[in-house]
Amino acid sequence: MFHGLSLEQAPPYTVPIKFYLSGAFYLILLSIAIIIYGFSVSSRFDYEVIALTHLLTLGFITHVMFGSLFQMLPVMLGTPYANVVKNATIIHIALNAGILTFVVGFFTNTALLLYFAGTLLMGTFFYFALLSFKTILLSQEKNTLVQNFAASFAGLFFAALFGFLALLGHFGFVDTLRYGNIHIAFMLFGWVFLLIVSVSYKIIPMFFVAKEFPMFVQKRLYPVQLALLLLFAYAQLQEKTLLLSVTQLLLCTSVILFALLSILILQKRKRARKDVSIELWYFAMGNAILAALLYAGANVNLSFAIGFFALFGAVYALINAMLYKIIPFLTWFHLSSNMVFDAEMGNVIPKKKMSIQINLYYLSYFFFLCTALSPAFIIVSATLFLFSSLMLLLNIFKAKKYYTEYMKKKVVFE
Amino acid sequence: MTIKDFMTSKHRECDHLLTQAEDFLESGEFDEALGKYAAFKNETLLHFTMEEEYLFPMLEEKSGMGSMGPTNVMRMEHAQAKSLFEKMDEAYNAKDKERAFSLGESMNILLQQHNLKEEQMLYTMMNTALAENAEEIVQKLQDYEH
Repeated sequence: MFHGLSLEQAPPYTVPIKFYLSGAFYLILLSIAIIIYGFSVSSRFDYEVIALTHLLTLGFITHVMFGSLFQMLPVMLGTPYANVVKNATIIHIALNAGILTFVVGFFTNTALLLYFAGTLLMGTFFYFALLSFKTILLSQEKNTLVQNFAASFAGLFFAALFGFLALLGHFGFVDTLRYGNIHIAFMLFGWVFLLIVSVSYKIIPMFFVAKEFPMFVQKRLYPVQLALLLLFAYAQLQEKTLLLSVTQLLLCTSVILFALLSILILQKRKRARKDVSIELWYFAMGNAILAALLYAGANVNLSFAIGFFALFGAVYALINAMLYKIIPFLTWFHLSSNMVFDAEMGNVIPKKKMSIQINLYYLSYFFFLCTALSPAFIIVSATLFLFSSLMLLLNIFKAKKYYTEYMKKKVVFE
Repeated sequence: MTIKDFMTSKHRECDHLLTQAEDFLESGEFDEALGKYAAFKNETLLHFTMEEEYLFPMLEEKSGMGSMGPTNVMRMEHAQAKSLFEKMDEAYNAKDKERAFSLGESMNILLQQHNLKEEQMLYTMMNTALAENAEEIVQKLQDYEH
């Protein structure tokens, strides 16, 4: 009756940690690249800006999302990823090869590298999306949560496709601007937003002992969002200006409503104690609302400011918050699953080190805002973010070291 | 009331007791915190007993999954929670607020993800496999509390 069901679906500890460490490494590269190129860029369409943006989106955000999904999706679905270690390794290698060639390709404007990177990245995203779809299909659970995850993978699929088409446009094959806008819409409002939404439905009640999100939101938001994205793509390709503005406005409304709802639910949480994760969550939601308001009233082409608030203010902050919830728990959980009961979650990454890293991020964010007064602040901002990223990397390393040391104790004990 | 409804409501009761203990801890009311913590621990351990002694063996037999399937993973997670209780006892008795919060967070996340798996899968399986005797089973579970 229940053939194939297993609750022991979590992959080895090294799988998610490898992705998290790689993600933090790209933040360091990003900071250094901003210090080098920050002064010389002027528009979103500069090749340097495209490279910098993708160091954050592909280098950090994608790594953490993939790593977390390898860990979380099987637990939520009751079905493991097929050959998880092998597949995670293939995806990790392909993703890194793709990111590095993509970024170098844009910094050096080398067509061959960009074709190679585009093909590799699209292949990697398709492979991951299909692998995840397969996991979902094999699951006995086909509940709302699973449908939300499936919708975010659909977003990833289209985002990768339109991203590749936009890349072709850089060599004159298609209109880059239109395909680029669709790529960004599917990436932000589809893949990233829907994944954050799906994870929030479980993470917020679980980590903060808060109320569940209303069921009509869980059931209705993702189909509405996907339908709006398809309409957006149609309007963009067919140059239907009015429809484009309406869909843009509605997509932003979804983000704002979700952000407000999550703040409301968090404020009414039962586990009242405040920690750095909650503050970061509020900060991220504030930035998401700001970015959505600016985008709702703006021309369809994203400006620097919108990208900054959406990616650096909202998505980065949210991921940073979740990493400090997930990594200590994962470390402790994997140790105690191995019958190592001496470890304590609170000792995995010292709270003080988390706070210092997050405060460096806040400072970096503040000085980035100051670039409106003088572009010179970009150097201060990037330098602070470099230190923040180094600390994040060290904090994740510390967790890995903690795990390794306690696992050695297990061997001695045996 | 189904088995799933009953057991899920017990999960929520335990969640509530832990948050109450932590609220008292936050405001420095250690005696009240210790009282709520003790109630949380008793309720949680009783819940584990209901599952390990009564529900799991019945499900294993009915479904033919044996004791090495999902129920074994649940038993292992119960062992993880029990190891945490030993440390939480120390922290609450020593009035060590920071350690108690830190351990409470581990306990909370451990139980929440554990409960999620039970509520989404195991209890759903129980509702199906043990449907014929559901009423009698829920009655027996209620008797555990007295």
